Amino acid sequence: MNHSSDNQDSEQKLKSLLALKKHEQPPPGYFDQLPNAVIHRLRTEQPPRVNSIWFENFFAKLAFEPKLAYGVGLMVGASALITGSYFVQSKGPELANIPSLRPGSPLNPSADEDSGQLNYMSLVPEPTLASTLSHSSKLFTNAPVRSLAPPSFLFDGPALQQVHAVSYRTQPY
Amino acid sequence: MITENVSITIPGQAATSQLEKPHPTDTPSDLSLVNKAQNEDLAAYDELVRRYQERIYATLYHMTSNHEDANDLTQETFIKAYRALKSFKGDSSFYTWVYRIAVNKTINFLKQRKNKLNMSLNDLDFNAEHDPDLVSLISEKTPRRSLGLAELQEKLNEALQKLSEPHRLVVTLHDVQGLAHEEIGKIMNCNVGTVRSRLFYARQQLQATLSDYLK
Repeated sequence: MNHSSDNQDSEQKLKSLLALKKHEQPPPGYFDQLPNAVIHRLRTEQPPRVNSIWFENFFAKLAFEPKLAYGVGLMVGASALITGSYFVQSKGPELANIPSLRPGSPLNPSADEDSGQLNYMSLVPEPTLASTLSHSSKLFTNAPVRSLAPPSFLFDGPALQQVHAVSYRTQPY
Repeated sequence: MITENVSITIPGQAATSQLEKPHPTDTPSDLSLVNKAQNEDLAAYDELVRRYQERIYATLYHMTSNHEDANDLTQETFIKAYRALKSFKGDSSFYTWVYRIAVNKTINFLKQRKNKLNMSLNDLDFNAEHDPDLVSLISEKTPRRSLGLAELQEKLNEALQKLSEPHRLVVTLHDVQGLAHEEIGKIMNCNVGTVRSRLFYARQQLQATLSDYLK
C-alpha cells in the first residue's frame, strides 16, 4: 500500500519536474525570424533528389518499428547468404583455374621448392607469334621485359657500399 | 479531394485532443492555406509555418536538448514539408503530417549523432520561478534544495537524453506538450496501447535516473 503511494508521489513529482521543460524558451525574437529563414531558403535552395527523401523516411520508419527492422535485417542477411553461395557455386571452377593459384605459377613459387630458387622466367608469359607481332607494332608497351638475368634487388648495387662518414661535431663560431 | 480537417491556431499552446477545433471565421483554415501553398503560394505557407513553428520547434528542442540542432531541424522540416506538399492528400491534419516529417528527420539526425550528447539549453523564462509545481519541488528538504533551477534543468535534460528516441518522444509529446495518446499514436504510427506502454516505461526510467531529485 505504502509502496504504491510512494510510486504515485514519485510520479507526481516527476510530472512537476517535467513542467520545467515548458519554461525553456529560445532567444527573444526567434519565432519572428524563423518563418523568414524558411521562406528565404525555399526561394534560394534547389530541392534535393527524391531518392534521398525516400531513404530518409525508410530508415526513420525502421527506428519506430522493430518488427520491420528485424524483417529487413533478416532479408538482407538471407540475400547476402544466397548471393554468396551462388557466387561460390558458379565461380568455383573458375577460381580453381586462376593461373596465380596453380602450382608453378609466378605467385605460387612453391612448385620450385626442389631447386630452391624462384623461377623468375615464370613471371613472364610465354610469347606467342600473335603477341610478338602485336607488341612489335606498338611504340610503347606495358608488357614485362623478358630477360634471363634475375632482377636486381634494392641493396645489391654498389650504392650500398658507398659509406660516407658524418661528423656531428659542432663547429666553433 | 482533400477533406476539411482543421487545427487550432494558437501557437505555442499545448496541443491536446482539442486540436481539431475550427478556426475563427476571420482566419483561414489550414486546408485553405495548404491548397494555396500547393499552388506555390509562399505567403500562405509562411502563415502555416507561423502557426506551427513553436510546437514543432519545442518538440525538436526537447528531443535534442540543443537549440541550434532544433533550429536546423525545424527549418529542414518546414522546407521538406513544402516540397512534399503535393503529396499531402488530407488523410490526416496538416499538423499531424508535419509532425511526422519532423519526427522522422529528428530520428535520422539522432541516429547520425549517435551518443554524442552536446547540450545547448535554452534559458528558463521568468515564469519558471513562480510555477507552483517547481516551487514546491525546490523548497522541499531534498538534495535538489541546494540546486538552482538551471542545474535542475540540466539534470532533467541529461536524464531525458538517456531514454531511447521513441520513449523520449512519447514523454515529450504527452508530459511536456500535452498531446493526447491518440494524437501521439497518429504521429508515431502506432496504436494507443503502444503509446501507453512506452510512456509507462519511459516514466519508470526517468524516475530511476532522477530518484535523488524525486524523494
